[in-house]
Amino acid sequence: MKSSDSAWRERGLHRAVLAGDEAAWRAWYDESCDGLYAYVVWRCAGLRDLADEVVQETWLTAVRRVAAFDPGRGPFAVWLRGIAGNVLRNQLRKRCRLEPLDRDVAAPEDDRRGDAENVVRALAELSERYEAVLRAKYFDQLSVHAIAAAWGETPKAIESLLTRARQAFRETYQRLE
Amino acid sequence: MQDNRDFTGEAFLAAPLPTSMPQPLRQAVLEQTLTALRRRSWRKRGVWMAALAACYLAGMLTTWQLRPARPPAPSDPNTQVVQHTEPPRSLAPEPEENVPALVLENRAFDTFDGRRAALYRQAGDRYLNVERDLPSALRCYRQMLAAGSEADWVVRAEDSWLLMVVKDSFVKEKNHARGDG
Repeated sequence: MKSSDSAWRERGLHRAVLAGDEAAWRAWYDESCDGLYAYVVWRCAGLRDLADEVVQETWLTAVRRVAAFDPGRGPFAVWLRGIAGNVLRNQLRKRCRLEPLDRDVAAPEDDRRGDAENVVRALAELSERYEAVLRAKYFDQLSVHAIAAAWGETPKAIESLLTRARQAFRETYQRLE
Repeated sequence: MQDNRDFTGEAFLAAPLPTSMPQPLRQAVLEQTLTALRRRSWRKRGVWMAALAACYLAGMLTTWQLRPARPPAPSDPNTQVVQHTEPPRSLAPEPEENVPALVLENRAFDTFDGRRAALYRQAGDRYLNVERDLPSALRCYRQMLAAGSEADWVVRAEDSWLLMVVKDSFVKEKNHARGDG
């Protein structure tokens, strides 16, 4: 589907949801659910209890603030991710210590649990641009060239940005250790 | 540029991710959001209903404010029978038989005590019954009512037909004037 078609579709869904159409909301939810969950798990470094809380809070915030969503400014999924980032920061402020639960991979040892917590906090402290390029690289699994094409920049510029983002992430992570 | 990729943090960034949201969580979150959506719809409807009710009440209030002023309930002189211990001044004394109406009218004009109304009534009766001068009778009857008291305005059986009409008209004029005041 072309981006313009997607935007028209999202406008239609948005209008329907604002009018209280539950079927439209279900459609939006089903389309975005898995993608948002995967993103939040990535942002939470696999800490499922935190991820579940953030996902729940993100969706409730989205439905309450759906009137503020502007389809002309970007896809619904991107808007959701923005909400998820803010929700996660608020959760981190409330939590003193994160308690990891099961993951798809083997349960982390205590060291890995602590590492996961540091990753979450380090990502949360990054600037939006650094987080975005790390997300594009590790979460969306795009190549440097694909990121450059999507962002309208040169591959060299993206490489440089990735380097700086990794450096910032590493420094913050090591500071939190 | 070579990056140090050995630190543990970056391993988390590259860790495999779930492909779908767990079904129990998915269903629970969906139900919560649908509930919130329904509440949002009801709140919007409630706001509209409140706005409509406010407009309706404003319209009712405006209508009530702009209603015409109710005139005071007039005492109907045509149906009242007033009993006085002393006769109204306009009925006494008995008219002189041969005095022209004009003379009676001039006497009334020159009188400034309680007999003024009675003299005007006599003049009016004479104009009407003897001289068949309706305009003059009408004039004298109006002067009588203006000079008399409210007791004089009450219609009585002994009033001439013209005097009854004038009394009725006079009272209505008075009531209308009070209502507009």
